[in-house]
Amino acid sequence: MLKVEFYGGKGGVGKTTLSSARAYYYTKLGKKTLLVSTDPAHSISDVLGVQVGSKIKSITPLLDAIEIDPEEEANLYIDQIRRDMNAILSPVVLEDVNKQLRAAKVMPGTHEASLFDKMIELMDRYKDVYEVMIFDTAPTGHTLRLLTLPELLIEWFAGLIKKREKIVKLKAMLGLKEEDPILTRLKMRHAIFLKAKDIIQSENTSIHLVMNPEKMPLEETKKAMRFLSEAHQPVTEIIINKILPPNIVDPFFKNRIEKEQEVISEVKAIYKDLKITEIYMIDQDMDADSLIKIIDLL
Amino acid sequence: MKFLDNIVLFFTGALSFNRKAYALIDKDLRQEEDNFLLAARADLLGLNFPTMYYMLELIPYMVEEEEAWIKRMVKRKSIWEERFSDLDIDP
Repeated sequence: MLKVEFYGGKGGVGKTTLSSARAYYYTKLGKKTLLVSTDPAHSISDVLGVQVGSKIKSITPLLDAIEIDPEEEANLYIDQIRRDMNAILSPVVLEDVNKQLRAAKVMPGTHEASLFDKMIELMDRYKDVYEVMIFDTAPTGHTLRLLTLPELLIEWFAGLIKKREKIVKLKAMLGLKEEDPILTRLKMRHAIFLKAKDIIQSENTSIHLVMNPEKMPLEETKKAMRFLSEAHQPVTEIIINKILPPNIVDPFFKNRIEKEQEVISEVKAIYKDLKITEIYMIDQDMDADSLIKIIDLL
Repeated sequence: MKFLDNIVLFFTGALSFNRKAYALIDKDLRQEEDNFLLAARADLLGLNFPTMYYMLELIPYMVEEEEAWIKRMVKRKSIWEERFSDLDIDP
């Protein structure tokens, strides 16, 4: 059974580093793992030290990675529609529809939807290829919000299907019995979203929030926790990253360390039932070599 | 010959009891199609739904309905007239 993990959090807290480290951790356990970046500002290439693109790339025998490019996915989708269209429409209306499709490429929501589509596709198509799939998501509220999308879309599509079925029935009464491609497509989408909901709400899917031991990331984490619990998407783990090591004696840092520990105890007090992982800051910049140090800390 | 045709037409008209029923269904159908179009292509009216992206793939199949809808909207003279015509649906 495929295990899916989502990593979210404020920008710059170390989501990419930690999700990459977790991916390595699973490969060390001998599990075939896919690391997926959904952040438009892709950085797993920098962390892994290998150029990853919008196609699945093998990093080690057990680890593959991919950086989803929402723009490319949207273009592929719209070009496919255009091809379908050329086959069935007259050139006169074609230009008008083309205009609409061109506008759709830059419409708000397009990239979120194409990103979400690609995520579902990966989870569905490769569910038997990988044992673990790790999603390094864009800063909080962006991709995590996508996780609640299936529920909304399922309802919306169910409504549309009902309406369309009524139309097909009325047409049949008038003797216009024919295959309705719209109904077929609506049903197809509906089925895909049902599948996505199953995967996202399955026991094997978990959400991990990454934060730094500071006030602002804490507030952001609280917000994300609230939103996700309202959406019935429980978070399994909070990772507190880049904690200052306690052995510094410099008075400037001593003060900071105290403040950080306050935040850490607050997190522990509020989220008693969650797994809280603490990662101390290391004395190196993040790259493939220093990543190994973190893997053992997880 | 034309005279004969007219006689045939007269009797088909006079004896077609289904006509009214068909017109009723036709009206229903158009109403449903309008409703569907509104739900599916609300972006044409400037309403942004998260489903808009997924509706794109329906556009090629909805062009016909869309055109019929626009024609109907352009042709309508008054909403009252339309409402009153509900009471008498003979075309």
